[in-house]
Amino acid sequence: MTSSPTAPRSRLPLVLSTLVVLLVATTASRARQPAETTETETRAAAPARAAADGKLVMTPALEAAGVTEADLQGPHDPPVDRLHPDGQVEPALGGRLIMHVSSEPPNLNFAIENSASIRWTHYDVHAGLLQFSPITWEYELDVAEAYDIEDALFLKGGPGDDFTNIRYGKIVEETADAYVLESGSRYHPMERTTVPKAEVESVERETVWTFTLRDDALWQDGHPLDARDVHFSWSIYANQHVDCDEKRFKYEKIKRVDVGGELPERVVRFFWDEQYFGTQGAFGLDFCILPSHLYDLLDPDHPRHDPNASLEAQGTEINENVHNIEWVGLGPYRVTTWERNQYLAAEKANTYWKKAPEESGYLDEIRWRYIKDDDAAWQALLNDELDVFNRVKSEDYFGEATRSETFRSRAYKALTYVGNIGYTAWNTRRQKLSDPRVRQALGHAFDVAGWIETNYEGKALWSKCTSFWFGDQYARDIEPLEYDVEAAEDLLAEAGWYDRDGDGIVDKDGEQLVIETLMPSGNKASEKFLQALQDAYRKIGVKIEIKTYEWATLLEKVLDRDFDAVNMAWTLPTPESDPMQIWHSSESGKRTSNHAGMNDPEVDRFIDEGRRELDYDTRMEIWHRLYERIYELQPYLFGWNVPRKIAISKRVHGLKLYKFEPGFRMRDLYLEAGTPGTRPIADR
Amino acid sequence: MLQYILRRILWMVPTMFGITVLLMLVISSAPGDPAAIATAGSLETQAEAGADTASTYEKFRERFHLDEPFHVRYGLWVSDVVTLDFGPEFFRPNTQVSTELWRRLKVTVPLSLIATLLSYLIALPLGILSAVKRGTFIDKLITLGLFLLYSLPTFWAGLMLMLAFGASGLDWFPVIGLHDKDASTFDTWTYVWDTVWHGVLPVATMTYGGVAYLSRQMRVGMLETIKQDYIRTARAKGLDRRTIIFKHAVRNSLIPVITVFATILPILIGGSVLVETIFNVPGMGLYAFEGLVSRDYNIVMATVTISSFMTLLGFLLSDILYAVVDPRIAYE
Repeated sequence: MTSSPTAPRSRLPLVLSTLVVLLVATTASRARQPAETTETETRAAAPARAAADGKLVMTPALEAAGVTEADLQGPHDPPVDRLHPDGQVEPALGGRLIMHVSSEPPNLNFAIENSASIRWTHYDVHAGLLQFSPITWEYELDVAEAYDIEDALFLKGGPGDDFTNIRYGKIVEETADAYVLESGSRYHPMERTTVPKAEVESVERETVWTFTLRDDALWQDGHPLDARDVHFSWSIYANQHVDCDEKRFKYEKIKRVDVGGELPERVVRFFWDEQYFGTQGAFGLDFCILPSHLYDLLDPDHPRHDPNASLEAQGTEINENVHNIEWVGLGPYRVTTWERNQYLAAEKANTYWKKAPEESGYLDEIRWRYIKDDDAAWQALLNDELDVFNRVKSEDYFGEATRSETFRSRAYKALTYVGNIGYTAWNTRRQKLSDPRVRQALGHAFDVAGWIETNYEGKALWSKCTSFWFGDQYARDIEPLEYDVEAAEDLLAEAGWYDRDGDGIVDKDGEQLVIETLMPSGNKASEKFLQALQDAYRKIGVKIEIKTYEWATLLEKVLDRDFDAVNMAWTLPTPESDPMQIWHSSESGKRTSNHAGMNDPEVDRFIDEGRRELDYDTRMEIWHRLYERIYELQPYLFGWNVPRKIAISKRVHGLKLYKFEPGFRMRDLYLEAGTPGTRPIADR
Repeated sequence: MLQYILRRILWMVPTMFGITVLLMLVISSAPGDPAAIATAGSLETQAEAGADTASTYEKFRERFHLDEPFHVRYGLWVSDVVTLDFGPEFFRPNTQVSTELWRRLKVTVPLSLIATLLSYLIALPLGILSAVKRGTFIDKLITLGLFLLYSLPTFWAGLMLMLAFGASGLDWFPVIGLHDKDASTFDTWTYVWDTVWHGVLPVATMTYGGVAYLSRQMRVGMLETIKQDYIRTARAKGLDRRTIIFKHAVRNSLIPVITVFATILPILIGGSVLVETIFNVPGMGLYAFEGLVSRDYNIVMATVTISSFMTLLGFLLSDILYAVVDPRIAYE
């Protein structure tokens, strides 16, 4: 899960907002008007409903928001060119397309660099053991042609220095007294074994993963991929000299990786130390395989092979490797040119094992064009310097900019809901915001549904939890707090906050309820929202003070927990995300993502249970209860999921809109047959 | 004169010392911690659960000596800078600031140089004409036009030029970058022509403000000069108008313009954040701005130090030029 401001640049994906207080002389005893239920409120609230069987159902609000029936079906292969004014055409091979990227990564080594834009590039220039499919929403085989999963029984007395005090295998039977193990992998021959429960310290299921690599997978320099590459790619996380602190913690949980010996040369066995629902994602989303013949000084094939290389030398070799820039990957496209601050170009690689254009791409060249300023990028699109621009502003998307002849003659627009949620985090460490009733009051006092309707023309989805809106993890049964000023005032009064001195701001123990709310500078959406929030909270005697900071300062304040409230957003790259970082109390004291300071034993228990739960349905049930509990505590003013708005050149065809960033795949795109510079597919 | 120049150059050393100490003090005490940004992953991402952020934070501070006392940090910085090593970028440690500076200068200097030359070439004749035709319709027209130009914000003017001459308007000029997307396939002449073509709008945006300002300076200087007795004398001698203006008046009117010259050098290498942002030109201005936003102290120190040095050099050159254009000025 990543977060960012929708800052001026910003690169990156998201929304943001804030809140604040402002209060108008409202006293606890003052006459109150009953809250009005508006039509807009009803419309925007409707999308959260689901049919009795749990499936999403279309509502007028969803339809108005641009959601299609297909979107509600969950995983599916989206229709091609649904919105292209010319409809579908016959595809051609060849040509080049240019996609806008707002931030340039320092390098392309995903093991040491964690920029969001690398993910997009790696999708086309690299491959992993598994790959997340935006069509099936599952992890599919990539350079692995198969994998087996086994369990581990940790015996009493500890695992031992060489992990010999552990029994591995597939638990095929569990009796009152014992576990029965069998081999779960053809590469792990073993007799059927019964292990008495009395000898077992703990059971860690699905912790042994055995991957078989494809025999036709080649690095783009022609070197064959082998198990050594995978082992090396894991081993770097144990080397403190490698700049991979952001990911190290994930792979330190893999205690052992076996290659060679009795295992065939293309087989790798991973041994995790505890069961975790996200193991597949760790292999599929984050694990970056590096070519050991180019990165590992201990590899005999390395040009500067040194069997005595120190850990520091090995770390330097990885951190400063020329191939961090001149990337050699496993994917269908090979990086050919990187003009710093300008563009990155990749051409079709002849080493990729999949040859059909539907799988490996139609284009001869993909180019990622780095333009920081979105206005400049928009102009680049109009001037044929870009083919795809996926950061179209709302006012342009719905306004004159996309209705102009200049735009319509060259491009068309499309929107898709990728996983994101804007939120305003209340710092619950602050005394004044520590009472859930105060936060619930703040939830009641802002008309989220009305805001979505008026500010986003209804094209945003009210999100009541930090989970992918269309996924099973999303707690659809959460009853949203209604816009109810009277209820808000009652809750504040109940918590001891009312206007004692008649200055229009509620107070308690001599302190006024003034909430300093941070927002990133230059973000018009946040500014507009916060001003609306100021107005709304003024009605209940809460004052919002908006504080604008540029990103570096904002971030420092947030990580130092030096704020009352902050408006930001999350992106959700997969249908199911780990709530640990945002909500577990163990993260509250760190400089990580539990900005709100959530510290609730029940929440912790749900997270701990959910992370270990391997049964999908049971886990979903746990997540739903977790998010219901979180919503009840209102650590955020939960915001909305705004769609990703894309402008795309009309010469581009093959667009499928997905639910995950960046909302489409370059690999799907093609030019029409007959376009100069292309060739018929028959000539592939 | 030579002694004076040497003395001025020597004075630059303590001046630069003062500037750099002050600069480092200011940026170190400004809010926003680069290690916090590094801990958070990047400007776009935040750390994930379980990440050892404390370790990342400390390692970052150690790596870039942010954990050292101020005097140690400054000493380390100076010891590198005397060898023209400005250190690595904080967030692209494999990139040396000096290497990137050189790359950016190759973009910024030609653009700024052309814009500056154009500014002078257009502004000086306009200023002279305006002064000579003082009070006439031409003078009023020029004055009005220049004031209008001077009042246009660069960002707005750049966007307007884009809209007017890009695809949204007349479609005469490219609006993004300095090269076509296919530039790598061009032959030399086509490449040069392509670069010139791409440079038209950025250069125009950088030029118009300077034209307005310089021509007013020139006009003021000229008006002051033509009131002088020696001009009246020249007229009385029966010299023709052209000789009076170009031989006697112009040279003596250049003092205000030369004063402005002191600012040219830093502009030449400093670039323009706005123009570079609008037209996506990866020059020095953008580099300095990015360094500031991301709290990359090495970038900020390098760009500001160079700009400061060029400003001092500009002042020196201005002083020398005063003596060149006006023999009455002499330095002991």
